[in-house]
Amino acid sequence: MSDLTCRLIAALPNDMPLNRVLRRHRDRCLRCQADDARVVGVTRRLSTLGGEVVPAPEGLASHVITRLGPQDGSDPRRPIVTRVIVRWAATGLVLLATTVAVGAALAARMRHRPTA
Amino acid sequence: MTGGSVQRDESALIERARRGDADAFGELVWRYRDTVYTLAVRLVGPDLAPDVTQEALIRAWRAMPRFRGDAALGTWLHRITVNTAWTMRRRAARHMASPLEDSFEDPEAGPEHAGVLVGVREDLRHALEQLTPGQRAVVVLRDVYGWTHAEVSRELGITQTTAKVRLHRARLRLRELLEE
Repeated sequence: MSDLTCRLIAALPNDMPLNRVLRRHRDRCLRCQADDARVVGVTRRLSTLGGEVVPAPEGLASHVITRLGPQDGSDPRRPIVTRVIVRWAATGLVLLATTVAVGAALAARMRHRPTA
Repeated sequence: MTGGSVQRDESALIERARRGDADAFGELVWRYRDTVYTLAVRLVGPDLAPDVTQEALIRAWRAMPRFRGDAALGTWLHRITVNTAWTMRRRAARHMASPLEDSFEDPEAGPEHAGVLVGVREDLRHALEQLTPGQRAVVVLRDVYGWTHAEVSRELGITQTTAKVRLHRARLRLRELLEE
């Protein structure tokens, strides 16, 4: 049971709120604390990359400058916005189709219900 | 040049670039090319990074009139780079056989340079490359660049819950890879 609890806690994001039972287990379990410390260690190693800079290839800046072209004030993040809109629209369509199908099935069942 | 004068100098360059001064933007390109490239490398790897960097900077030029100075220019360029990396990675995955249009040919690219990324620890770099693109983007932005969950979710077009779950899975996977 304890092993299952440890696995459950390990599967959840660190900042996700836990119920009282899981929280108490995490605070007392050495294995969970060790797991957490190792993940924190990974995070610390990653943060050391923040100050490092990789030099761009020679000539890249010049290449960019020769390709600038006209300014048009376009939104540089448009593809992301479009994708989010498409995703929500697709979700809405699926929900609508499901509702229509369930409604049609219920209506069909009501029509064929034998009368007393 | 003192810090204050550098800032005023950059503000002047930004204002000129917003009004269409290509020379001013060129100066900004020289100043920011390495930081943009670094982020691109960490998001998509060294093969695609030059093209992502190039495209991100060109998009930034086109969008300069929209830049209001609400965020620092570096932060704004980072956001554009993240968006560009995301779209170009998907495009590259779909068109594996075709080279990207106006692709930048790195004159120093080659097997003898492929593994050399100055300043990037090899084990972390290799481990990051083993992650899925979604996990990699979230963990780089959150743990390397210190973005908040809200910023990460907004720029990647995902919910904060999805961002947190991907981040956690990425950290667990990195832990496994680094302990091997």
